[in-house]
Amino acid sequence: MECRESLKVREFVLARLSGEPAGDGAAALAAHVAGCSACAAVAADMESVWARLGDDDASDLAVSPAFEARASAAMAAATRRATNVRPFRVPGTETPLLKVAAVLTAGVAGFFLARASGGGALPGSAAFQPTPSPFHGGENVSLVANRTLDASRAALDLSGKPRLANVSYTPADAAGRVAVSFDVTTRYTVVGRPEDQAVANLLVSLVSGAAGSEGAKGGALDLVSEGTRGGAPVSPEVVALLRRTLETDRNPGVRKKAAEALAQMPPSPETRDALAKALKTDTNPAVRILAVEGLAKSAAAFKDASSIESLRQKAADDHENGYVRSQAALALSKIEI
Amino acid sequence: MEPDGISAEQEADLEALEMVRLGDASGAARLFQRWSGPLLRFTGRLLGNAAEAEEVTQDVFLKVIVRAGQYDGRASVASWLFAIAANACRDRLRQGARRQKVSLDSVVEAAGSDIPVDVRLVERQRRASVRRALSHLSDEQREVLVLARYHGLPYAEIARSLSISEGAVKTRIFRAMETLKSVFSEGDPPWNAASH
Repeated sequence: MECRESLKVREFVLARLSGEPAGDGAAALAAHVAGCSACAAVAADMESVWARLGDDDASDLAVSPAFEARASAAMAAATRRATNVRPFRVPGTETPLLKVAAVLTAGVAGFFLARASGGGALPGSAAFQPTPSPFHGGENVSLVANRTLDASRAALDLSGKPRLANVSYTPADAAGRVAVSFDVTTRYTVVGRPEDQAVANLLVSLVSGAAGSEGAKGGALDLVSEGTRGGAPVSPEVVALLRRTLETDRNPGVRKKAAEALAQMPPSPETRDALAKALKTDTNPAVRILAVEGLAKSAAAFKDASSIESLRQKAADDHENGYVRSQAALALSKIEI
Repeated sequence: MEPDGISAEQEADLEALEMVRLGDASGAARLFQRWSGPLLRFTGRLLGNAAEAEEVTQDVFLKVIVRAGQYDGRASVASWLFAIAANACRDRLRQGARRQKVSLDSVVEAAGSDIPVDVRLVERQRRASVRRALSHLSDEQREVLVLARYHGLPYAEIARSLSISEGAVKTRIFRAMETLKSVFSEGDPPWNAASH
Protein backbone atom coordinates (compact mmCIF):
# COMPACT_ATOMS: atom_id res chain seq x y z
CA MET A 1 0.00 0.00 0.00
CA GLU A 2 1.26 3.40 -0.95
CA CYS A 3 2.05 5.95 1.74
CA ARG A 4 0.31 9.33 1.47
CA GLU A 5 3.74 10.98 1.58
CA SER A 6 4.92 9.10 -1.52
CA LEU A 7 4.32 12.02 -3.90
CA LYS A 8 6.42 14.35 -1.77
CA VAL A 9 9.05 11.65 -1.42
CA ARG A 10 9.27 11.25 -5.21
CA GLU A 11 9.75 15.01 -5.65
CA PHE A 12 12.30 15.06 -2.84
CA VAL A 13 14.31 12.17 -4.27
CA LEU A 14 14.21 13.59 -7.81
CA ALA A 15 15.38 16.99 -6.62
CA ARG A 16 18.25 15.33 -4.76
CA LEU A 17 19.23 13.23 -7.78
CA SER A 18 19.11 16.32 -10.01
CA GLY A 19 21.38 18.22 -7.66
CA GLU A 20 18.76 20.78 -6.70
CA PRO A 21 19.20 22.47 -3.33
CA ALA A 22 17.31 20.79 -0.48
CA GLY A 23 14.00 22.58 0.05
CA ASP A 24 12.01 23.13 3.22
CA GLY A 25 11.18 19.92 4.99
CA ALA A 26 13.94 17.91 3.32
CA ALA A 27 15.26 16.66 6.63
CA ALA A 28 11.79 15.58 7.75
CA LEU A 29 11.20 13.73 4.47
CA ALA A 30 14.58 12.00 4.73
CA ALA A 31 13.65 10.86 8.22
CA HIS A 32 10.28 9.67 6.96
CA VAL A 33 11.87 7.62 4.16
CA ALA A 34 14.16 6.01 6.69
CA GLY A 35 11.20 4.84 8.72
CA CYS A 36 8.62 4.02 6.00
CA SER A 37 9.20 0.86 3.99
CA ALA A 38 6.75 1.91 1.20
CA CYS A 39 8.48 5.25 0.70
CA ALA A 40 11.92 3.64 0.96
CA ALA A 41 10.89 1.36 -1.92
CA VAL A 42 9.67 4.37 -3.94
CA ALA A 43 12.97 6.14 -3.34
CA ALA A 44 14.94 3.02 -4.30
CA ASP A 45 12.95 2.72 -7.55
CA MET A 46 13.70 6.31 -8.52
CA GLU A 47 17.36 5.92 -7.70
CA SER A 48 17.52 2.71 -9.70
CA VAL A 49 16.02 4.33 -12.82
CA TRP A 50 18.36 7.31 -12.46
CA ALA A 51 21.35 5.00 -12.14
CA ARG A 52 20.21 2.88 -15.07
CA LEU A 53 20.18 5.97 -17.30
CA GLY A 54 23.92 6.14 -16.63
CA ASP A 55 24.35 3.08 -18.85
CA ASP A 56 24.10 5.47 -21.76
CA ASP A 57 27.62 6.90 -21.72
CA ALA A 58 27.19 8.42 -25.21
CA SER A 59 30.56 7.01 -26.22
CA ASP A 60 29.11 6.65 -29.72
CA LEU A 61 28.45 10.38 -29.84
CA ALA A 62 31.98 11.76 -29.74
CA VAL A 63 33.13 14.64 -31.94
CA SER A 64 35.11 13.00 -34.71
CA PRO A 65 37.98 14.80 -36.51
CA ALA A 66 35.96 14.61 -39.73
CA PHE A 67 32.97 16.30 -38.12
CA GLU A 68 35.18 18.95 -36.56
CA ALA A 69 36.84 19.70 -39.90
CA ARG A 70 33.48 19.89 -41.68
CA ALA A 71 31.95 22.13 -39.04
CA SER A 72 35.03 24.38 -38.91
CA ALA A 73 34.87 24.97 -42.65
CA ALA A 74 31.15 25.73 -42.47
CA MET A 75 31.67 28.12 -39.55
CA ALA A 76 34.48 29.96 -41.34
CA ALA A 77 32.25 30.40 -44.39
CA ALA A 78 29.35 31.59 -42.22
CA THR A 79 31.60 34.10 -40.44
CA ARG A 80 32.73 35.50 -43.80
CA ARG A 81 29.12 35.82 -44.92
CA ALA A 82 28.05 37.40 -41.63
CA THR A 83 30.80 40.00 -41.72
CA ASN A 84 30.37 40.50 -45.47
CA VAL A 85 34.10 40.48 -46.03
CA ARG A 86 34.96 40.23 -49.69
CA PRO A 87 38.40 39.05 -50.73
CA PHE A 88 40.59 41.54 -52.52
CA ARG A 89 40.43 41.28 -56.27
CA VAL A 90 43.48 39.52 -57.62
CA PRO A 91 45.54 42.02 -59.63
CA GLY A 92 45.48 41.46 -63.35
CA THR A 93 42.00 40.03 -63.56
CA GLU A 94 40.58 43.14 -65.25
CA THR A 95 39.89 42.71 -68.92
CA PRO A 96 42.67 44.31 -70.99
CA LEU A 97 39.97 45.75 -73.25
CA LEU A 98 38.52 47.69 -70.32
CA LYS A 99 41.96 49.16 -69.60
CA VAL A 100 42.32 50.29 -73.22
CA ALA A 101 38.81 51.79 -73.16
CA ALA A 102 39.59 53.71 -69.98
CA VAL A 103 42.79 55.18 -71.44
CA LEU A 104 41.00 56.20 -74.66
CA THR A 105 38.12 57.80 -72.72
CA ALA A 106 40.53 59.80 -70.56
CA GLY A 107 42.47 60.94 -73.65
CA VAL A 108 39.37 62.05 -75.56
CA ALA A 109 38.00 63.87 -72.49
CA GLY A 110 41.34 65.62 -71.99
CA PHE A 111 41.43 66.64 -75.65
CA PHE A 112 37.97 68.25 -75.51
CA LEU A 113 38.76 69.89 -72.20
CA ALA A 114 41.90 71.46 -73.64
CA ARG A 115 39.97 72.74 -76.66
CA ALA A 116 37.21 74.19 -74.52
CA SER A 117 39.72 76.05 -72.39
CA GLY A 118 41.41 77.66 -75.44
CA GLY A 119 44.51 75.53 -75.25
CA GLY A 120 46.21 77.76 -72.66
CA ALA A 121 46.79 77.25 -68.99
CA LEU A 122 43.81 76.18 -66.89
CA PRO A 123 41.98 79.11 -65.30
CA GLY A 124 43.24 79.86 -61.87
CA SER A 125 46.24 77.60 -62.21
CA ALA A 126 48.32 80.13 -60.36
CA ALA A 127 46.19 79.52 -57.30
CA PHE A 128 47.31 75.85 -56.95
CA GLN A 129 49.55 76.68 -54.04
CA PRO A 130 50.14 74.52 -50.97
CA THR A 131 47.89 75.36 -48.04
CA PRO A 132 48.75 74.89 -44.40
CA SER A 133 48.12 71.44 -42.97
CA PRO A 134 44.41 71.08 -42.18
CA PHE A 135 45.13 70.04 -38.58
CA HIS A 136 46.95 73.21 -37.67
CA GLY A 137 45.55 76.56 -36.74
CA GLY A 138 42.07 75.20 -35.79
CA GLU A 139 40.84 75.11 -39.36
CA ASN A 140 37.55 73.30 -39.73
CA VAL A 141 37.99 70.46 -42.23
CA SER A 142 34.67 69.25 -43.51
CA LEU A 143 34.53 65.61 -44.54
CA VAL A 144 31.47 65.36 -46.73
CA ALA A 145 30.58 63.04 -49.57
CA ASN A 146 30.61 65.79 -52.21
CA ARG A 147 32.36 69.05 -51.82
CA THR A 148 32.71 71.74 -54.49
CA LEU A 149 35.61 74.12 -54.19
CA ASP A 150 35.69 77.53 -55.85
CA ALA A 151 39.17 77.62 -57.34
CA SER A 152 39.28 81.39 -57.15
CA ARG A 153 38.89 81.27 -53.37
CA ALA A 154 40.41 77.94 -52.28
CA ALA A 155 43.82 76.45 -52.71
CA LEU A 156 44.62 72.75 -52.99
CA ASP A 157 47.57 71.20 -51.26
CA LEU A 158 48.79 68.51 -53.63
CA SER A 159 52.29 68.38 -52.23
CA GLY A 160 51.65 65.00 -50.63
CA LYS A 161 50.79 63.63 -54.08
CA PRO A 162 47.46 62.15 -53.02
CA ARG A 163 45.98 59.56 -55.32
CA LEU A 164 43.16 61.09 -57.34
CA ALA A 165 40.65 58.45 -58.37
CA ASN A 166 37.53 58.43 -60.54
CA VAL A 167 38.54 61.69 -62.26
CA SER A 168 35.91 63.28 -64.46
CA TYR A 169 35.80 66.60 -66.33
CA THR A 170 32.97 69.00 -67.08
CA PRO A 171 33.39 71.30 -70.10
CA ALA A 172 33.32 75.09 -69.67
CA ASP A 173 30.07 76.75 -68.71
CA ALA A 174 28.85 80.14 -70.00
CA ALA A 175 31.35 81.88 -67.72
CA GLY A 176 34.16 79.77 -69.13
CA ARG A 177 34.61 77.73 -65.93
CA VAL A 178 35.48 74.03 -66.19
CA ALA A 179 35.19 71.44 -63.43
CA VAL A 180 37.45 68.56 -62.46
CA SER A 181 36.01 66.01 -60.07
CA PHE A 182 37.90 63.26 -58.28
CA ASP A 183 37.88 61.04 -55.21
CA VAL A 184 40.79 61.33 -52.86
CA THR A 185 41.72 57.97 -51.48
CA THR A 186 44.21 59.40 -49.07
CA ARG A 187 43.79 57.94 -45.62
CA TYR A 188 43.01 60.48 -42.93
CA THR A 189 44.57 60.06 -39.54
CA VAL A 190 43.30 62.30 -36.79
CA VAL A 191 45.84 62.64 -34.02
CA GLY A 192 45.02 64.14 -30.65
CA ARG A 193 44.03 63.52 -27.06
CA PRO A 194 40.63 61.90 -26.46
CA GLU A 195 39.33 65.10 -24.92
CA ASP A 196 40.35 67.14 -27.99
CA GLN A 197 37.24 68.24 -29.78
CA ALA A 198 38.19 66.71 -33.14
CA VAL A 199 39.02 63.31 -31.60
CA ALA A 200 35.95 63.38 -29.36
CA ASN A 201 33.68 64.25 -32.28
CA LEU A 202 35.19 61.50 -34.39
CA LEU A 203 34.75 58.91 -31.62
CA VAL A 204 31.17 60.02 -31.04
CA SER A 205 30.50 59.74 -34.74
CA LEU A 206 32.04 56.25 -34.93
CA VAL A 207 30.17 54.94 -31.88
CA SER A 208 27.00 56.38 -33.39
CA GLY A 209 27.50 54.08 -36.37
CA ALA A 210 29.29 56.30 -38.90
CA ALA A 211 31.53 53.46 -40.02
CA GLY A 212 28.60 51.09 -40.34
CA SER A 213 30.42 48.28 -38.58
CA GLU A 214 30.11 46.89 -35.08
CA GLY A 215 33.88 46.37 -35.01
CA ALA A 216 34.55 50.09 -35.55
CA LYS A 217 32.00 50.91 -32.87
CA GLY A 218 33.60 48.52 -30.39
CA GLY A 219 37.09 49.80 -31.25
CA ALA A 220 36.05 53.42 -30.55
CA LEU A 221 34.61 52.36 -27.19
CA ASP A 222 37.80 50.47 -26.37
CA LEU A 223 39.82 53.60 -27.12
CA VAL A 224 37.62 55.65 -24.79
CA SER A 225 37.86 52.96 -22.14
CA GLU A 226 41.64 52.85 -22.37
CA GLY A 227 41.77 56.59 -21.83
CA THR A 228 39.44 56.53 -18.82
CA ARG A 229 41.42 53.68 -17.27
CA GLY A 230 44.45 55.93 -17.27
CA GLY A 231 42.47 58.70 -15.63
CA ALA A 232 42.49 60.94 -18.70
CA PRO A 233 39.81 63.62 -18.75
CA VAL A 234 36.86 62.90 -21.01
CA SER A 235 34.88 65.40 -23.00
CA PRO A 236 31.20 65.94 -22.06
CA GLU A 237 30.18 64.76 -25.53
CA VAL A 238 31.84 61.39 -24.94
CA VAL A 239 30.21 61.02 -21.50
CA ALA A 240 26.81 61.80 -23.03
CA LEU A 241 27.50 59.32 -25.81
CA LEU A 242 28.45 56.57 -23.37
CA ARG A 243 25.27 57.20 -21.39
CA ARG A 244 23.18 57.04 -24.53
CA THR A 245 24.96 53.88 -25.71
CA LEU A 246 24.49 52.21 -22.33
CA GLU A 247 20.80 53.03 -22.35
CA THR A 248 19.86 52.30 -25.93
CA ASP A 249 22.31 50.03 -27.73
CA ARG A 250 20.72 46.67 -28.45
CA ASN A 251 24.01 44.83 -28.36
CA PRO A 252 25.02 43.65 -24.86
CA GLY A 253 28.69 43.59 -25.86
CA VAL A 254 28.59 47.27 -26.85
CA ARG A 255 26.66 48.19 -23.68
CA LYS A 256 29.25 46.30 -21.64
CA LYS A 257 32.06 48.38 -23.18
CA ALA A 258 30.13 51.60 -22.50
CA ALA A 259 29.52 50.54 -18.88
CA GLU A 260 33.19 49.66 -18.48
CA ALA A 261 34.28 53.07 -19.77
CA LEU A 262 31.83 54.87 -17.47
CA ALA A 263 32.80 52.76 -14.46
CA GLN A 264 36.47 53.63 -14.94
CA MET A 265 35.91 57.38 -15.13
CA PRO A 266 36.34 59.61 -12.12
CA PRO A 267 32.88 59.46 -10.46
CA SER A 268 30.45 62.22 -11.33
CA PRO A 269 26.67 62.65 -11.02
CA GLU A 270 26.34 61.86 -14.75
CA THR A 271 28.26 58.58 -14.57
CA ARG A 272 26.50 57.63 -11.33
CA ASP A 273 23.01 58.17 -12.77
CA ALA A 274 23.82 56.23 -15.93
CA LEU A 275 25.26 53.29 -13.98
CA ALA A 276 22.41 53.28 -11.46
CA LYS A 277 19.92 53.07 -14.30
CA ALA A 278 21.87 50.27 -15.97
CA LEU A 279 22.05 48.36 -12.68
CA LYS A 280 18.29 48.61 -12.41
CA THR A 281 17.24 47.90 -15.97
CA ASP A 282 19.96 46.28 -18.06
CA THR A 283 19.17 42.68 -18.98
CA ASN A 284 22.78 41.58 -19.16
CA PRO A 285 24.43 40.48 -15.89
CA ALA A 286 27.92 41.42 -17.11
CA VAL A 287 26.72 45.00 -17.66
CA ARG A 288 25.12 45.05 -14.22
CA ILE A 289 28.33 43.82 -12.58
CA LEU A 290 30.25 46.69 -14.20
CA ALA A 291 27.53 49.06 -13.03
CA VAL A 292 28.05 47.77 -9.47
CA GLU A 293 31.80 48.46 -9.77
CA GLY A 294 31.21 52.00 -10.97
CA LEU A 295 28.58 52.74 -8.34
CA ALA A 296 30.88 51.38 -5.64
CA LYS A 297 33.50 53.95 -6.71
CA SER A 298 30.89 56.67 -6.73
CA ALA A 299 29.57 55.67 -3.30
CA ALA A 300 33.10 55.54 -1.86
CA ALA A 301 33.98 58.93 -3.29
CA PHE A 302 30.81 60.87 -2.50
CA LYS A 303 29.15 58.66 0.13
CA ASP A 304 25.97 59.73 -1.60
CA ALA A 305 22.76 58.12 -0.48
CA SER A 306 21.63 57.46 -4.02
CA SER A 307 24.56 55.16 -4.96
CA ILE A 308 24.45 53.38 -1.60
CA GLU A 309 20.71 52.80 -1.92
CA SER A 310 21.09 51.42 -5.47
CA LEU A 311 23.68 48.94 -4.22
CA ARG A 312 21.62 48.05 -1.16
CA GLN A 313 18.52 47.33 -3.26
CA LYS A 314 20.53 45.17 -5.61
CA ALA A 315 22.16 43.20 -2.78
CA ALA A 316 18.70 42.43 -1.37
CA ASP A 317 17.04 41.63 -4.71
CA ASP A 318 15.92 37.98 -4.62
CA HIS A 319 15.41 37.92 -8.38
CA GLU A 320 18.93 39.10 -9.15
CA ASN A 321 21.81 36.95 -10.33
CA GLY A 322 23.72 35.69 -7.27
CA TYR A 323 27.07 37.01 -8.44
CA VAL A 324 25.69 40.51 -9.03
CA ARG A 325 24.11 40.46 -5.55
CA SER A 326 27.31 39.32 -3.88
CA GLN A 327 29.32 42.00 -5.71
CA ALA A 328 26.84 44.65 -4.56
CA ALA A 329 27.05 43.39 -0.97
CA LEU A 330 30.85 43.32 -1.15
CA ALA A 331 30.92 46.89 -2.44
CA LEU A 332 28.67 48.02 0.41
CA SER A 333 30.88 46.34 2.97
CA LYS A 334 33.88 48.35 1.75
CA ILE A 335 32.21 51.73 2.02
CA GLU A 336 33.05 53.53 5.22
CA ILE A 337 29.87 55.31 6.21
CA MET B 1 27.09 24.31 -14.11
CA GLU B 2 26.62 26.77 -11.32
CA PRO B 3 23.12 27.89 -10.45
CA ASP B 4 24.18 31.41 -9.59
CA GLY B 5 26.95 33.82 -10.44
CA ILE B 6 29.23 34.02 -13.42
CA SER B 7 31.99 31.45 -13.40
CA ALA B 8 35.26 31.85 -15.28
CA GLU B 9 33.92 29.42 -17.91
CA GLN B 10 30.77 31.47 -18.37
CA GLU B 11 32.83 34.63 -18.70
CA ALA B 12 34.96 32.86 -21.32
CA ASP B 13 31.79 31.88 -23.19
CA LEU B 14 30.60 35.49 -23.13
CA GLU B 15 33.93 36.65 -24.48
CA ALA B 16 33.86 34.06 -27.24
CA LEU B 17 30.34 35.08 -28.17
CA GLU B 18 31.40 38.71 -28.28
CA MET B 19 34.20 37.72 -30.67
CA VAL B 20 31.66 35.93 -32.85
CA ARG B 21 29.52 39.05 -32.89
CA LEU B 22 32.47 41.17 -33.95
CA GLY B 23 33.16 38.81 -36.84
CA ASP B 24 36.17 37.07 -35.33
CA ALA B 25 36.13 33.44 -36.53
CA SER B 26 38.16 32.25 -33.54
CA GLY B 27 35.19 33.04 -31.26
CA ALA B 28 33.04 30.38 -32.95
CA ALA B 29 36.00 27.97 -32.85
CA ARG B 30 36.34 28.48 -29.10
CA LEU B 31 32.64 27.85 -28.52
CA PHE B 32 32.83 24.76 -30.73
CA GLN B 33 35.78 23.35 -28.79
CA ARG B 34 33.92 23.77 -25.54
CA TRP B 35 30.35 22.90 -26.46
CA SER B 36 30.32 20.67 -29.56
CA GLY B 37 30.68 17.52 -27.43
CA PRO B 38 27.83 18.23 -25.01
CA LEU B 39 25.60 19.48 -27.84
CA LEU B 40 26.33 16.43 -29.97
CA ARG B 41 25.41 14.14 -27.08
CA PHE B 42 22.29 16.19 -26.36
CA THR B 43 21.05 16.19 -29.96
CA GLY B 44 22.04 12.54 -30.41
CA ARG B 45 19.93 11.48 -27.45
CA LEU B 46 16.98 13.58 -28.64
CA LEU B 47 17.11 12.53 -32.29
CA GLY B 48 18.38 8.97 -31.85
CA ASN B 49 20.53 9.35 -34.94
CA ALA B 50 24.24 10.19 -34.88
CA ALA B 51 24.43 11.60 -38.41
CA GLU B 52 21.50 13.93 -37.84
CA ALA B 53 22.92 14.92 -34.48
CA GLU B 54 26.08 16.10 -36.25
CA GLU B 55 24.04 18.07 -38.78
CA VAL B 56 21.97 19.74 -36.08
CA THR B 57 25.01 20.46 -33.90
CA GLN B 58 26.77 22.12 -36.82
CA ASP B 59 23.60 24.12 -37.54
CA VAL B 60 23.59 25.33 -33.93
CA PHE B 61 27.00 26.95 -34.39
CA LEU B 62 26.03 28.44 -37.75
CA LYS B 63 22.96 29.97 -36.11
CA VAL B 64 25.13 31.33 -33.31
CA ILE B 65 27.27 33.14 -35.89
CA VAL B 66 24.21 34.72 -37.48
CA ARG B 67 22.35 35.46 -34.24
CA ALA B 68 25.19 36.42 -31.90
CA GLY B 69 23.77 39.93 -31.65
CA GLN B 70 20.44 38.57 -30.41
CA TYR B 71 21.86 37.02 -27.24
CA ASP B 72 20.38 39.07 -24.41
CA GLY B 73 22.31 37.66 -21.45
CA ARG B 74 19.23 36.49 -19.54
CA ALA B 75 20.45 32.91 -19.52
CA SER B 76 24.00 31.61 -19.73
CA VAL B 77 25.57 31.15 -23.15
CA ALA B 78 25.43 27.38 -22.54
CA SER B 79 21.69 27.51 -21.92
CA TRP B 80 21.27 29.62 -25.03
CA LEU B 81 23.16 27.01 -27.07
CA PHE B 82 21.06 24.18 -25.64
CA ALA B 83 17.91 26.20 -26.37
CA ILE B 84 18.91 26.61 -30.02
CA ALA B 85 19.75 22.90 -30.18
CA ALA B 86 16.44 21.88 -28.57
CA ASN B 87 14.50 24.03 -31.05
CA ALA B 88 16.44 22.59 -33.97
CA CYS B 89 15.74 19.03 -32.78
CA ARG B 90 12.06 19.80 -32.33
CA ASP B 91 11.92 21.18 -35.88
CA ARG B 92 13.58 18.04 -37.21
CA LEU B 93 11.29 15.73 -35.32
CA ARG B 94 8.21 17.76 -36.31
CA GLN B 95 9.09 17.87 -39.96
CA GLY B 96 9.68 14.15 -40.00
CA ALA B 97 13.13 14.83 -41.37
CA ARG B 98 14.45 11.59 -40.05
CA ARG B 99 14.77 10.20 -43.52
CA GLN B 100 16.45 6.94 -42.66
CA LYS B 101 16.06 6.11 -39.05
CA VAL B 102 19.33 4.41 -38.23
CA SER B 103 19.25 2.82 -34.84
CA LEU B 104 22.12 4.01 -32.72
CA ASP B 105 22.88 0.46 -31.60
CA SER B 106 23.91 -0.26 -35.19
CA VAL B 107 26.45 2.54 -35.31
CA VAL B 108 29.93 1.14 -35.73
CA GLU B 109 32.23 2.28 -32.99
CA ALA B 110 35.77 3.42 -33.42
CA ALA B 111 38.18 0.56 -33.86
CA GLY B 112 41.36 0.18 -31.88
CA SER B 113 39.80 0.20 -28.44
CA ASP B 114 41.60 -1.79 -25.75
CA ILE B 115 38.29 -2.94 -24.28
CA PRO B 116 37.50 -6.58 -25.11
CA VAL B 117 34.84 -7.12 -27.75
CA ASP B 118 32.42 -8.89 -25.39
CA VAL B 119 32.58 -6.06 -22.87
CA ARG B 120 32.00 -3.51 -25.61
CA LEU B 121 29.06 -5.52 -26.86
CA VAL B 122 27.45 -5.51 -23.40
CA GLU B 123 28.05 -1.79 -23.05
CA ARG B 124 26.50 -1.18 -26.43
CA GLN B 125 23.46 -3.26 -25.54
CA ARG B 126 23.02 -1.37 -22.29
CA ARG B 127 23.30 1.96 -24.10
CA ALA B 128 20.81 0.84 -26.73
CA SER B 129 18.44 -0.30 -24.01
CA VAL B 130 18.50 3.15 -22.43
CA ARG B 131 18.04 4.86 -25.80
CA ARG B 132 15.06 2.64 -26.55
CA ALA B 133 13.57 3.53 -23.19
CA LEU B 134 14.15 7.24 -23.84
CA SER B 135 12.33 6.90 -27.14
CA HIS B 136 9.17 6.03 -25.17
CA LEU B 137 9.11 9.54 -23.71
CA SER B 138 7.46 12.52 -25.34
CA ASP B 139 9.86 14.97 -26.99
CA GLU B 140 9.21 17.50 -24.21
CA GLN B 141 9.89 14.98 -21.42
CA ARG B 142 13.00 13.67 -23.15
CA GLU B 143 14.67 17.07 -23.64
CA VAL B 144 14.07 18.07 -20.01
CA LEU B 145 15.27 14.76 -18.62
CA VAL B 146 18.37 14.70 -20.82
CA LEU B 147 19.34 18.23 -19.77
CA ALA B 148 18.89 17.37 -16.08
CA ARG B 149 20.35 13.85 -16.05
CA TYR B 150 23.19 14.06 -18.53
CA HIS B 151 24.11 17.75 -18.61
CA GLY B 152 23.51 18.65 -14.97
CA LEU B 153 21.50 21.77 -15.74
CA PRO B 154 19.56 23.06 -12.74
CA TYR B 155 15.78 23.25 -13.02
CA ALA B 156 15.87 27.06 -13.25
CA GLU B 157 18.35 26.98 -16.13
CA ILE B 158 16.35 24.32 -17.98
CA ALA B 159 13.23 26.44 -17.52
CA ARG B 160 14.98 29.49 -18.99
CA SER B 161 16.42 27.49 -21.88
CA LEU B 162 13.12 25.98 -22.89
CA SER B 163 10.94 28.98 -21.96
CA ILE B 164 8.82 26.98 -19.54
CA SER B 165 8.18 27.26 -15.81
CA GLU B 166 10.22 25.43 -13.19
CA GLY B 167 7.02 23.64 -12.23
CA ALA B 168 6.73 22.31 -15.78
CA VAL B 169 10.34 21.11 -15.60
CA LYS B 170 9.63 19.16 -12.40
CA THR B 171 6.43 17.69 -13.80
CA ARG B 172 8.08 16.55 -17.03
CA ILE B 173 11.00 14.93 -15.22
CA PHE B 174 8.61 13.28 -12.77
CA ARG B 175 6.47 11.83 -15.58
CA ALA B 176 9.52 10.80 -17.59
CA MET B 177 10.86 8.87 -14.59
CA GLU B 178 7.52 7.13 -14.08
CA THR B 179 7.45 6.06 -17.73
CA LEU B 180 11.05 4.87 -17.62
CA LYS B 181 10.40 2.88 -14.48
CA SER B 182 7.67 0.90 -16.16
CA VAL B 183 9.65 0.50 -19.41
CA PHE B 184 12.71 -0.79 -17.57
CA SER B 185 10.70 -3.14 -15.40
CA GLU B 186 8.94 -4.63 -18.44
CA GLY B 187 12.00 -5.94 -20.18
CA ASP B 188 15.14 -6.28 -18.15
CA PRO B 189 17.56 -8.46 -20.09
CA PRO B 190 19.48 -11.01 -18.03
CA TRP B 191 22.82 -9.15 -18.31
CA ASN B 192 21.17 -6.12 -16.83
CA ALA B 193 19.31 -7.79 -14.04
CA ALA B 194 22.58 -8.89 -12.55
CA SER B 195 23.88 -5.39 -12.17
CA HIS B 196 20.74 -3.54 -11.07
